[in-house]
Amino acid sequence: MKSLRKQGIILFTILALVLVACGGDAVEEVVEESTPEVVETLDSPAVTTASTVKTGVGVTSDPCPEAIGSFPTGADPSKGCIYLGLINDYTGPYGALGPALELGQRSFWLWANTAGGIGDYSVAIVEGGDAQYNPAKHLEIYNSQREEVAALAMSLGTPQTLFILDELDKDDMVAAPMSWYSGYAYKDFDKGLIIEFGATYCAQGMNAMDWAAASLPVDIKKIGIIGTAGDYGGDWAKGVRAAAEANNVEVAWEYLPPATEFDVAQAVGLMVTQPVDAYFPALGPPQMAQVAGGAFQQGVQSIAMMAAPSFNDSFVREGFALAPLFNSKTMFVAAFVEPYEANTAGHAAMRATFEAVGQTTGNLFVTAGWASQYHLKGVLEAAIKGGDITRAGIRRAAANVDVQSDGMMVKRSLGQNRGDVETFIGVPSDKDEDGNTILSGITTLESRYVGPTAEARDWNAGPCS
Amino acid sequence: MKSRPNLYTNYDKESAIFSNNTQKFWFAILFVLSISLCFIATDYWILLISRSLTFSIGAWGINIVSGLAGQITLAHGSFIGIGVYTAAVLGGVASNSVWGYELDMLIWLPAAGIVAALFSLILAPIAVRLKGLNLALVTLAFLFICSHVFSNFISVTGGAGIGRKVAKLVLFGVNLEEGLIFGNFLLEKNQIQYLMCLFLCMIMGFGFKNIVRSRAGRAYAGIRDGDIAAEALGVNLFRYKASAFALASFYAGVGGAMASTISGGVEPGLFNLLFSILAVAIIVIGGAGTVLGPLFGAFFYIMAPGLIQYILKLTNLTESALPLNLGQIEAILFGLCIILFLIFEPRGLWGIWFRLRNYFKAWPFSY
Repeated sequence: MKSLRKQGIILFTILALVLVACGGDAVEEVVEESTPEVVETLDSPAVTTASTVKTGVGVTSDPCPEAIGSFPTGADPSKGCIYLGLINDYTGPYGALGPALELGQRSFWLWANTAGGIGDYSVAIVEGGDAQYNPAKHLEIYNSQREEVAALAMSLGTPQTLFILDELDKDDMVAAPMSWYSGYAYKDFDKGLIIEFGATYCAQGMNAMDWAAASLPVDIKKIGIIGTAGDYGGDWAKGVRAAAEANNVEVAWEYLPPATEFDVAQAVGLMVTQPVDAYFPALGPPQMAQVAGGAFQQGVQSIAMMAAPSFNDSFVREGFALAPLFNSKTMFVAAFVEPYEANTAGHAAMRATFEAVGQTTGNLFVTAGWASQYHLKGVLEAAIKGGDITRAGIRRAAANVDVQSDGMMVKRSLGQNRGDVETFIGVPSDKDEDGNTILSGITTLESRYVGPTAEARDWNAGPCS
Repeated sequence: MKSRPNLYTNYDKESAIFSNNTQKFWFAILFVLSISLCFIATDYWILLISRSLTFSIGAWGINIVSGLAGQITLAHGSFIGIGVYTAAVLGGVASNSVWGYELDMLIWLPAAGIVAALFSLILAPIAVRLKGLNLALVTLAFLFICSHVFSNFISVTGGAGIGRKVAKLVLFGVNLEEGLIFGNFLLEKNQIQYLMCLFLCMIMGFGFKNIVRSRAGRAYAGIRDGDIAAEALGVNLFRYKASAFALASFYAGVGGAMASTISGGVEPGLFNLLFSILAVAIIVIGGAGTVLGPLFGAFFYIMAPGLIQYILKLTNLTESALPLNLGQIEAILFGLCIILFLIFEPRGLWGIWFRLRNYFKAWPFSY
């Protein structure tokens, strides 16, 4: 009896597997009817300026709280409130950056609310959730906020953001990113949900190489690239490599291991054993200091063209052991936005707001936090103008809208399958000519540099990596 | 006999899954409550409970090899990873960089467990010859090898820093990603996921209970309490140690594959040493060697941050008003719990549950 039962189970299992396999084929044969995509713009009848505003999840007629946590929102008590979510990292590999980014974002909305808000609404970012750079936690935080917000002020981490893209899609939830992955500019990659801002890592890499070849007094013939595999290091390396090829510069080595396997000794070893005229690091600040310091200790001081996240203003401050190296004018920074001290209306508003709330920091991360909200603001304004501030309305507005950032970044149209390329180039400096401390730790060399490689690339062709 | 629920007249009755009607009753209540929960709870709590259920499966796995058989392993995270990527390749969608065959869940879910179990057999010959810290070191080496492979085998894992999308929820040819419609009622994806996790957890839980009360379970306990003595009594050390690792890895693979469908995507960096240590910590907190311990431990680990956040909201305390953030509070609380449980309650949360249950069984008498 037992063996008969066993045989029965085996037969049933085989049959079930066969049926499942057959079932799969049947599904694949279904031909989906394709309907032409309706492209709605702010000028199309669906979203022309409306007298009434349709609202949805995350938008209330009640005013925003006066403060979220201990940070003031600057909300007008006579206006309604648009709530934005915040998926941040307070612990994990980017835990140290999270608070700085959030400071920039909250300060931005404090300023925007004080300046009149968005139509009849003020904007408040809810309490941030700590995703710990973990995809599961990321989704968890998203789920804890999805019922109370109209959009996300930040979704930190490219893989994490891409993993929850289906959920965002289902909820029509747009989000500001905090990375400059070249794929974010393309609807095939982000489903039109990510409101990107600033030059991509790839464009930054191209411009860094082109600028170094054209502007530095040294003849650069051989370079090295250091980073970690992924959207950041991978995108940057593609850009640098493309520009190197265009400039007939040899890429002597490329060290791009997985983040978990990055070995400072190996990176330093490459710099020492295979010297190059310049190296292009896309790292985090701790790794950057270790690599630069390690090589310097071995007597190697090549020109460094750093991707912005590699740099920290503390590198140039008195007391830091490597400050003389970082202040030596042989190291440069390529970034998506000009630093804290730049002379634009957006930067001025940022500085004034920071002073008003008693903040004395001015590093690239707070600037990034502030700048990240400009395009989101433009999208929300467009949605209000179109009379639909539901999530679907906000998403539609994000699909085709001109946004600006009070001069911080170039004016642009979202949803055009083309990312920004204008790159800031600067040199680390502790003090300016008058002896005043430069809060960002960077002096501007080029505000919006676009080299021939980035200029010539067909950006409509798709992302770099 | 009905009035004497604790009187067992034979061994089979004592080792039955439900040894008395009271247990059956409470299990039925819990089952009904668990089912109804997915219609009452918010998306957030459904997600947390689903994750807890899948973590329980993984924790039962390490409970077999460490709790029951007494073998120290730090490679559990790797086996979870192997299960996740097996499922992702078989059930996921292919792209320019990764493989994906979009097979049915009926294939990828068991395959995730089977492949993980097969890989674990690599460790079996070593496990027989080593024990204690030496075995831990070998499993640690296995973890690092797997970590390296995960980070670099781009066609399977998507590569470090990028990752890949996981297996799609397609069962019997029905795509569950968009939910299921019954008349006017829509069963959403997260509800379906929750129900699947619940049933899978029940099946694996009963499976674990069966292992404990089977010949293998007794052999594992024998090995744990003294492998030389066990061998002298006729326990085949190679067979049982290998089967303990294989079963543990099967649980890890299945649990990991199911858990990955919840997060949507997976990045290779996740399966690091910390992740494996976490699995050990979960059974220490829950109660090593017990059936319910891993369930308690997993729920504690996953739900604690949510509960802390809930309490903060209730008390109008905002996270930014506290000197520590939620992640730090969670880490400190978890570390503190491990220390406190090891000192004061080595049987973990299960031990507390056991004492509470006995207290109320004997109530109003103190013993």
